[in-house]
Amino acid sequence: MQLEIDNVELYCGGKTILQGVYLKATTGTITAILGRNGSGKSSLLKVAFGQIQPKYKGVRLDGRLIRQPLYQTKKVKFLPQGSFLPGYLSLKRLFYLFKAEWDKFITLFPAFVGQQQERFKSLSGGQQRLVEIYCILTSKSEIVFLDEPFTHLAPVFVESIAQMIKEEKSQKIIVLTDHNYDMVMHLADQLYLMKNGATSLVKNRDDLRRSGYISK
Amino acid sequence: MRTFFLIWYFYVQFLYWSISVTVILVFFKAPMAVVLLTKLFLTVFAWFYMNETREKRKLIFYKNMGLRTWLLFGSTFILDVLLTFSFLHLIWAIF
Repeated sequence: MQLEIDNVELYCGGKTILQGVYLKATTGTITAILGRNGSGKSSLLKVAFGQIQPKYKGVRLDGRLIRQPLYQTKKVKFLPQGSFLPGYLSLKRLFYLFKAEWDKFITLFPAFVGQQQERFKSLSGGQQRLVEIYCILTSKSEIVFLDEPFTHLAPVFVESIAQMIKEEKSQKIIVLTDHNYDMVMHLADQLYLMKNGATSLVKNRDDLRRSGYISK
Repeated sequence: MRTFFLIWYFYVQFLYWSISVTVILVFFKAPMAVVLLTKLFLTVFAWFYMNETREKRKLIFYKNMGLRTWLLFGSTFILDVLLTFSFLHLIWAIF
């Protein structure tokens, strides 16, 4: 499967947020978007998913224009920056709803053993983020958007999540943004840089240096 | 079944508000049409509030399940009306 996003124009309060975006991602690859704070990375993922409605957008799957919000195709999962799961639901319910495997989860993260009946809101911020990433990554979908998946995670969990992303990519289109620049460079098969609401394809670190995203 | 659970979980967060409003309407002996219109107004208000504030983030969970926003709020309204009428019938049967 091939996902293409272009012709996106998003304005907010007279300010241009997105204009001049082109992004292509295919199954079996990890596509990463880098950019400074406020460059429009999260907005682009929200527009692509269907969470916010821009003035214009073109989202195509295998060349076919998708007129409805992408989430309505039931092919996509989206991890936003902030916590989004209902706090009053138990982990058991959440794993049932996402059709995620609890046994596999506690094998990867043994600290959760015996917590299946706990409510989501009773977990720490880092634990909540782990549950969210696991559910989004492993539930049935063809496209996964991850907005800053490594934020709020301990380094040891960052490694585990990076490994999971690598494993899941064989069956999915994965598009992610994060400020953990080294991890993103390590994971990504292709990289876009977002600047002033527009994307440009990045081939190496020199391109990032030239654009001013990194200094050395 | 999964869709029903999702709609119920969405509705649960409004349940206490809904019961409180119903109790107030019963106290003032409001006619059925007023109860129905009040519930419709509250559903539209909830939809507007969730779409126009930071609460919109909560809809991402349901969108991840492929549920459309109108289906979510429409089903919530129907569920709320059914539960309200059941509650009213129970009250009338007792008193």
